[in-house]
Amino acid sequence: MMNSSRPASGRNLLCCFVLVLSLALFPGNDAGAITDEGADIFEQSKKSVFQIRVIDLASDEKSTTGSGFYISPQGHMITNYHVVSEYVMKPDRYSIKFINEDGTSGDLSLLGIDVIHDLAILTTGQETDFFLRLGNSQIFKGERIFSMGNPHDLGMSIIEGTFNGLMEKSMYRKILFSASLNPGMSGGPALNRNGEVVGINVSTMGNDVSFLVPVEFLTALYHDVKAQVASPVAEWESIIEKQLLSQQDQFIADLLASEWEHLTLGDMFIPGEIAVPIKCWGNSMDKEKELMVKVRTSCSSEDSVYLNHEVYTAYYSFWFLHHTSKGMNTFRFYNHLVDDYVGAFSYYDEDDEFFTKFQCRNDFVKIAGRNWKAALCVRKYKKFQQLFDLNLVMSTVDEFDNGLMGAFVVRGVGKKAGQALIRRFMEEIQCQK
Amino acid sequence: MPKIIVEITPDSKSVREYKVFDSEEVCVGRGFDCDVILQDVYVAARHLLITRTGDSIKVKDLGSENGTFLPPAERVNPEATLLSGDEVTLGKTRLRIYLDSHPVPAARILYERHKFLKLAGKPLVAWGWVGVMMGFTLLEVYCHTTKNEDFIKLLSTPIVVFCTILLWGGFWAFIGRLLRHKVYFYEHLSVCCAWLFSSAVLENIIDYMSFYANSKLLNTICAYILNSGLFIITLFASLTFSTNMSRAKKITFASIFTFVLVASFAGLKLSASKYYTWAPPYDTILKPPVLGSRNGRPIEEFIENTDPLFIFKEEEKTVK
Repeated sequence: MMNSSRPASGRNLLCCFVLVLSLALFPGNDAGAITDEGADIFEQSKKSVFQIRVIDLASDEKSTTGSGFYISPQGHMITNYHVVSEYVMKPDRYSIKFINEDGTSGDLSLLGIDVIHDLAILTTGQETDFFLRLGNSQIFKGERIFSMGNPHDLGMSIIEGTFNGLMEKSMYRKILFSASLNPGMSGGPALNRNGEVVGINVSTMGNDVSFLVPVEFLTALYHDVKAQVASPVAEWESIIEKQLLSQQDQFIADLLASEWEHLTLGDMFIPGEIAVPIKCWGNSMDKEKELMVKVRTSCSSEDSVYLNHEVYTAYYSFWFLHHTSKGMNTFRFYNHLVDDYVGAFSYYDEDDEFFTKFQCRNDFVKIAGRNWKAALCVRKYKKFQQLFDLNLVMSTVDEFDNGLMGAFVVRGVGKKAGQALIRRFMEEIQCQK
Repeated sequence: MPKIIVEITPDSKSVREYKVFDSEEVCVGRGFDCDVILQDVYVAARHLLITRTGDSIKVKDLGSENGTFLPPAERVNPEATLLSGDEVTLGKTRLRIYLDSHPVPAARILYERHKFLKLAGKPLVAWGWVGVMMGFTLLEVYCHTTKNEDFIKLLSTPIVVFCTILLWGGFWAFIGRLLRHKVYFYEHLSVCCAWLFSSAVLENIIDYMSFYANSKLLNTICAYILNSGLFIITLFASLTFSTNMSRAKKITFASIFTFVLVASFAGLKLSASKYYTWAPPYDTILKPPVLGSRNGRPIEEFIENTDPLFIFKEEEKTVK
């Protein structure tokens, strides 16, 4: 502790020195100097950035707002998929409009979406001189970048933050942006100091932890849209389904082809961080008065794809729980196992319009030479004929005083890929002996 | 000990009804102050008085307009002496009067209680049942704890069960006191305990069955059927002690009451499930391998068997 504080104080001294030196050399500069660059960028770009409104046709009022910006002289405008998702799901009940700082507004039509990376391309149908140039996200960690948008419908704003690199280990690659994005800024551009787009505002975790979609995904989508011969008839649901299926099939194919990392729990080997985006956590409970020791590992992809304001999909999570009795009789022990088995899944997005009810199958399965009771439950996305959510829960039932329980949630996958993944998951459980 | 047994055969119904009396004098009529109240418009408010003296029965017409007749058509004017098993006709209703000493055993069954029922009525047996039931509940509560709780804490559920048994006994004793002038409190305690005990034992058996059969549906169906059946039997028993209903009436009443109760419960559960059930409906029973462990299928077979889960017939119709 002492050792590490010395160099730090040394750095502080150096910082003070630089600050004093700069004050001495440039007496006109003050703390406000940081924002001048932002002011320039805001001035350059303000005519290219708009508020996007999704209008509920029944009440003729806005139901969602976000931000968007021009990227081409032909009037291509970019925002997030989640800003216009209501329109995508129910095009007959909503329309999309843009509105500028000076009050100019107009209708937008949707040209393309990338649901995986949360992007949408719209068009005004009119040419424009005020469009932003696309840059690239290969910039240095720590570089200053600026994000524009209309937070909480309060007016067009610019915020300054730090580029903290591409999150290579996340499921759907994003840029970590250290600044505070707010609701309403979604779909707005993040610009480098040259005023080029490096990313698109997408989400925040609060406390200055925000995320941007790297501009490369936007470039790819833009090229796709430009390559289209005619604008697509609004078959957005089948486009979303195709994008999800191809992304998930590819991810699962890679997963099935790779070696899986294992963890040890009790006397069993269980799947651990089986792919780069999947992260595991562990904890154990051994209270003095409790007559049971529990050790738990839980792993998940920690990232998902937005479908609508209630439904996030395309993620994976699993946990294992090892119970050991401390002298309980076997009936008491199993009664307690049931409590964890019952609570294996809880859902808060039970949307009748979106999902079918679950269908389950219970059976005894032999895994790693032991007898397990397993239940696989499946539900379908009503709008997407080939997409399913799969839930597996299983528990050993062959020992009197110890047991291993496991659960696996796979969301938004095709039947074959889902079944293959569940099968591999079960096969990867192995006995140490 | 019953002294007079009256068998009533109303004209319009083929069902016979029996009423058992401990007194030596029974009044028959349409009025509410009579012991046997008949729903027959040809019967007077106070029509007939039946009196037992030793082994003989006297019937006295109380001055009714339509009269009382001995078969084939002899009018009772105003008194007649009968033997046990003789019949009289009032209006359109036939009455057959028995004494407890009636020589034909079939008639004796009407008032003689089965020895099991006699046993159920003994205070020691009834409190013994209550004790067993509380012990069983205590065991169940104990088996659902994961730490060594204080005995007092464990006792709370058995106390609730104890109060339920007392309430059941008290309620039916009150009904019996009103309708039959007999309480049968201990019999009702025994009936209630027998019901709760067999229900708990059966539920455990059903749990084991559905665990081995891999079926949540089996569990639900069995639980509904068996619990309904048990409740009908329990109601039937309590009605037998506390009312003078005929067997057919008791069965009908118990069945309809149980059906309405179960249907309302199931309906409530079904309508509320939309709001609190997020979890998939998988079979959530795990049992220790005390009866042996069932051999599991190979993983491949398990996965193959899940193919039908991906077919959603109902939804295909509703999707646009």
